[in-house]
Amino acid sequence: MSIEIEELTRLVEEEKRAEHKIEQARRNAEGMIKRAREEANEIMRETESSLASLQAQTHVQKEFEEKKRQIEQEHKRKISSLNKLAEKNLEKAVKIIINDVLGVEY
Amino acid sequence: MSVLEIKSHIEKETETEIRQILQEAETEAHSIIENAKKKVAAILEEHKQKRTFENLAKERSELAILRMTQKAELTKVKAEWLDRAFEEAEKRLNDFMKDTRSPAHKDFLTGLVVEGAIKMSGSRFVVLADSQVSGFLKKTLKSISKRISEAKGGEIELQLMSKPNTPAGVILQSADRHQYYNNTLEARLSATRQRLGGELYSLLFREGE
Repeated sequence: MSIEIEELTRLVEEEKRAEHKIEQARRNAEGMIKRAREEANEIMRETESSLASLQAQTHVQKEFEEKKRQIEQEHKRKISSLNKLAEKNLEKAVKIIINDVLGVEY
Repeated sequence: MSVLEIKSHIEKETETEIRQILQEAETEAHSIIENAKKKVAAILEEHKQKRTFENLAKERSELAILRMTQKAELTKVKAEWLDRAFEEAEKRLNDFMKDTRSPAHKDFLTGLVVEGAIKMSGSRFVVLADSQVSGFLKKTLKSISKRISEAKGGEIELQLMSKPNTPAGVILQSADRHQYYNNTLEARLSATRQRLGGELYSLLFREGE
């Protein structure tokens, strides 16, 4: 084999090695993207499962319960106050009714 | 160009291409993960807003139901007190009606007949009452007729009819039975309730008197 042919053959082999390296780099790149997609899918799956468990939880709203308790207490106070007033004014009301019933017009 | 230079060139080009391929892949991978994180953040935010809105709606609805229930309870309490006032008044009025000897009772019975006759048109009336009331009215029929005649400005004719089980008080009928006037205690209590119910309601729950 002449020197020129030998060198050309080495160059061709060098070219092949280069193509192989590039091919390997492409596979690595695809692997990198595939792993990124898997990681992204995992992130989404974890979020969905954490949302499902959040929905199942009983949300205790302390602030709201406190507000309700205050409204209920206020109502009880109001009823109690009304009962006291009515108890006090009952006799007057009874007298007015009796006077009106007995008050014949002629 | 020598063979060595070509070889060096191939190596250099190869390295450049490999670097570019890996850089692009890194950029794309980074972008995929970043997009996923952004999506997650958006989903979480949407979920948070939805839950906040749902909780707010639930709280508002619960409070509205609570307030309606309380309002109904207040109305019930007030109505019960009004009922109690009328029950007490009725009890005392029934006691009053049993006291047949008291002058006030007699005046009241007379007044019931006179009032009924004045409110009706015509000049001939039948008074329906139970036997006890009829017994009393029989004794005073002339004076009652006179009072009615004076009030109406003309002679009238009054007839008594004893009817057992007539409620306390009297019922007047025109002689042709076309008109009647219910002046029993029951009817008068009902009229008082209609007329003064609102006033009594206010009185019962008035402060400072």
